[in-house]
Formats: sequence, structure tokens, C-alpha cells
Amino acid sequence: MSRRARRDLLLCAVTVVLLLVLLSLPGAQGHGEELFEDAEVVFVPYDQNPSVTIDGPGTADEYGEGGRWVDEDSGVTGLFLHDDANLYAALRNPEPGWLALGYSSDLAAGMGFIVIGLLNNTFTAVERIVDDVEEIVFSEPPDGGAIVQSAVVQTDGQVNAELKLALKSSLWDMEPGMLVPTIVAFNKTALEMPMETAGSETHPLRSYVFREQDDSEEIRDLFEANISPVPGLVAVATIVAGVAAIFYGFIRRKG
Amino acid sequence: MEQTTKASRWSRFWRPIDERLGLDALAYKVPEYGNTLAYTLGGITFVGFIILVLTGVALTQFYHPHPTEANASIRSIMEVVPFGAFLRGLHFWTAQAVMVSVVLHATRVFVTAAYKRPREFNWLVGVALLALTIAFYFTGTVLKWDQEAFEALEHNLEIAEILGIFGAFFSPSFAAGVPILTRLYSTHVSILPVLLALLLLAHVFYVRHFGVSPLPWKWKGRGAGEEGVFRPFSSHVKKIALYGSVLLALVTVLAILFPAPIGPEPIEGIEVTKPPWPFLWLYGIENAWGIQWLLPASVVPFALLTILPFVDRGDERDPRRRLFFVGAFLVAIAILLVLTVIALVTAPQAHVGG
Repeated sequence: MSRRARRDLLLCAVTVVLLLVLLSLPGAQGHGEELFEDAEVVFVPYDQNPSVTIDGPGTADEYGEGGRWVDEDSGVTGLFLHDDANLYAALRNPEPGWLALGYSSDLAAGMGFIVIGLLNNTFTAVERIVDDVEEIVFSEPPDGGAIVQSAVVQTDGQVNAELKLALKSSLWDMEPGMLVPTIVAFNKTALEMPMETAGSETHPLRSYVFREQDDSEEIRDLFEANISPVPGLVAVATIVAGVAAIFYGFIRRKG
Repeated sequence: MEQTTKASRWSRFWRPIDERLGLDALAYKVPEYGNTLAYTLGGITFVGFIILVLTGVALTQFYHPHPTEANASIRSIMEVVPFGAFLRGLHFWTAQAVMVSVVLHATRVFVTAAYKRPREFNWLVGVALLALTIAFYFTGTVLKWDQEAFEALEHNLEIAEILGIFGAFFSPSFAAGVPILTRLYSTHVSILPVLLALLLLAHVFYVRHFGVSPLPWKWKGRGAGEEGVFRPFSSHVKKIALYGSVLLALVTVLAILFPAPIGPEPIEGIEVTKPPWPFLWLYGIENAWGIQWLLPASVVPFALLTILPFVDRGDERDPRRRLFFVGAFLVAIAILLVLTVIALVTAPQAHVGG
């Protein structure tokens, strides 16, 4: 092997080593530290004329299956829907206790909560607000005008709560097309709410409030990153084959 | 006899036209190997640009370049406008084909060392054309105004911010009251085409001026014969037309089988898509080191391509005797491929904002 060829080979080897080093470096951290950064997305479909009756239990007939959320561990479920002015939520806790639903359209300004269930020996729904969502401490009710209508029933040891909430209130200002930081909190054991802290379970979520024109399937595909790889695969495969053919064509030829 | 009559008829028709338009300037001889597929990739790319212009002109009649209307207007093109979905499919798939043929054309030029003296400047024009093609692809992606488009634009805005005053054009505050989507549309349909036309003219002029680059193994007199056989330019045009027709047939089939994708209107505050395939390798870098590396990572390949003719200055054109540069090129292709595959198989990550 000539000296020049050895040098060329050495340079190629150095390049390959640099490539391997480059590829072996750990990936940069994302922004997953934020409470809601990678939180599960809950869909809040749009229905211009929802046939929801605020009576406690929410049914699939009223809400459809589009906006269903289930916590597999506790069995707590949520059904969601919205029209032009209101958000409808039906929450079910399979055990006695209370449920809380919090939204924030501006995390820097805090988070608005609706707590519903047995509170101070009374079945009721109240508005609360917290300043720091990482350590939820309910402060006094601000009377933010968020609850339009509410109902809660406790039967056979399970709590069914249903809420009709204003999309715009002093607690939050939700616009269709927003991905709204959401917390579902519940305490499945205590029959009385400890007023200082949230319950034993809190679930950070992100609610996607559908726009009128949104197609449910398209939105689901989007959030599941279900995008067709066909153009990329066709193009990359063609380039690989083409580059190989060009190199083969010009290198195999005898000069 | 009949042939002579035909020839004289043609001559009587053609000569006055040629006398006034000087079209015989194009009637130069092209070496026979210039009619092979590898040497017509530039011409095929040109045919692709023509298809893009024609379909693009048709699409602009129905496209509304405003954030509140853009996505809906594309849906209307797909669902309401007669043959709209097919036209958009042709435009989309031809754009993919042009990206592929540009890369393959550049590969052929590299392998045959056609960037060497005296064609260095034309290589630079070619590098600029590659950059323009990518700019076309990027702006075209943004125009569909779905989540992929929106996130691509967000990345662009971040890079513009890093560039400071040099990125001012991409800043939303550059023209208050005019959405950046509208300005990117005007870039896509007016600024870039003008630049493309000028550079293409220069590119073709220099090809005409210096002739088709020699075969690598003929250099220094090795490999007798092939460059000695010449064909008229019209045969070159016929070959390009033939391959161009194949391209058109191919994109037609793809446009019918796989309509151009369009997602829902963008949702602010999320980052759930990956970039289109030409930028996937950048996504791998972005995942590893963050968005601030996008700019240097994009500049490096173009810097390397720009300095290539000034670094590889020897007379040798045979790829088997240019091991270092050929090896480096293959390594670069391998890096791009590995980064692309990594990006393809990894889950989408959020980079912007944060």
C-alpha cells in the first residue's frame, strides 16, 4: 500500500471514529421536567348542541367516546365535551370521596379548580384556586363564575359528579385549539376533604379543546405522531439506491 | 429525393426563425456518454422544476396564504377543486423527486470530479441551486399550514432569533401586520423562482461554455474513445425529454396512489411532528444537542461543498484514485443516513420554546 493510500485510509478511519463518538454521545434532555410537558392528552370534543343532562352520572350517549379518560389504577374515569360557551365533564370515582378538576390557561397565573363531592359533610361543588400546581394547596374560593351547573351523587360507594363549566371565567380562559394544562385529583378514601391539601391522587393531564373544524381521527393521528412515512421512505431509498448505482457505475469501469 | 424535399421544407421553415432567434447557438455537440442517465440527472431535475412551476401556478389560483385560511384552502383544493388533489399530489411528489434528483446529480458531479478546473464556479452555482431547492422545499412545507408546517416554521423562527439582524427577514416583526406565512408564500412563488431562474441560466450557460465534463477515466488520456463520439444537442434534449416523461409518469402514479398529506390546522404549544425527510438528519442532531445546533449543522455541509473544488485541486478525476475525498463523501452520506434513520425510529421530541 502506498504512503498516500495509507494516509487516505487513516483519514477515513479518523472520520469514522469521530462519527462513532458523535453518535454515542447521550441525547440532550427534553423539557420533561415540567409537570405537563409529557402529560397524557385528554380530548375535549366539540358538539354544537350537546344532549348532556347535568344529573351526576355521565353516559356514553351524552358524551360519546371521543373525550374519555380512564385512570387504570384507580378506575376513576372522565368524560369531556364542549360547546361554544361551556365545557361538560362527567367524573366517576369508584370509591367514596371527592373529585377535583383543575384547568389553567396561564400557569403563571395559577390554576383554577372545581372540587366536587362530600365537602364538610355536604355534597357540593366549590371553586378553588392554587398558585403552585406542583404542590397543590387550595386557597379560598374566588367565586370565579366557572361553575354554570353541577351535580354530584354517591351511590353504592361510588361518586358520580357532573359539571358544566364556563370556557371563560376568572379561573381560566379556554380557547378552542388550546392544549390546556389539566389536573384531575381525587381522594378515594377520606369522606371529608382535608381543606389544606389536595387528595392522595393527582393526575397532570393536557386537555385538547377541539376546534369546530377539527376532525377527531386527524387530531388523534396528530397526537399519536401517526404520520405517513411513505414519502420519506421512497425518497431516502431512491437516494441510497441512486448513490450506490452512481458509485458502482463509475468505479467498476476500467480506465 | 423525398428526404431532400422534406429537408428543404424544414429548412425553409426553420432558417428564418433561426436567423432571428439564434437558436443554432444551442446546436452544439454533446459527447455520447452525456446521454446516459447519470449525465442527464441535471436535465431531469430541470424537467421536475418545469412540472413544479406548472402545477404550482395552478395551485396558487386556489391557495389562500393567510394563517386563518391556508389549511382550509388546501383542503378545498383537495376536496372541491376539480383534479385539485391530483394537481397537489403531482406538485408534492415532483418536489420529492426533484430533491432526490438534485442529490443524485450532485453525487454524479462529485464522483466524476466535474467541479475541477475550469468548472469551479459552476460547481458553486450548483451548490447555490441545491440551497435554493431546499429553500423551496422548506417554504412549500410551511405553506400547507398544518402541525408539521407550523413546527417547521417555529424552528425557523428560533434559528432566525439566533442569527439576530441576519435573521430579521424571518422575524414576525419584519413586516408588522403581514403574517410570516404570507411572506413565505411570496418567497416561494416570487423571490425563489427569480433566483432559481437566474442561477439556472448561469448553470446552463457554463455547461454550454465548458461543455459536458469529461469522463473520469479519460482524463490524462486513459480510456480511449468514448469522448470521441459526439451526438447533436437535440439527441441530448430527446433523452432528457424521455427521462422527464418517465419522471412525470412516476409522479403521476405516486400522486394517484398516495395523495399529498395534509394535517389539521396547527395547534400552538405542542411539538408532536418530525420534520420532512430532507431535514430528518438535522432532527437527529437536534435531539442529541438541542435546537441551537441546527444552524451550524446546516451550514457545515454547504461550507464543505463550497470549499471542495479549492481543496481537491489535483488533476486526478478517477474516483478510484481520489480515495480520501470519495471516502469522506461516503462517510458524510453514511452520517446523514444514520442520523435520518435514528430520527425515523425515535419518538418525536419537543425542542422549541421550553
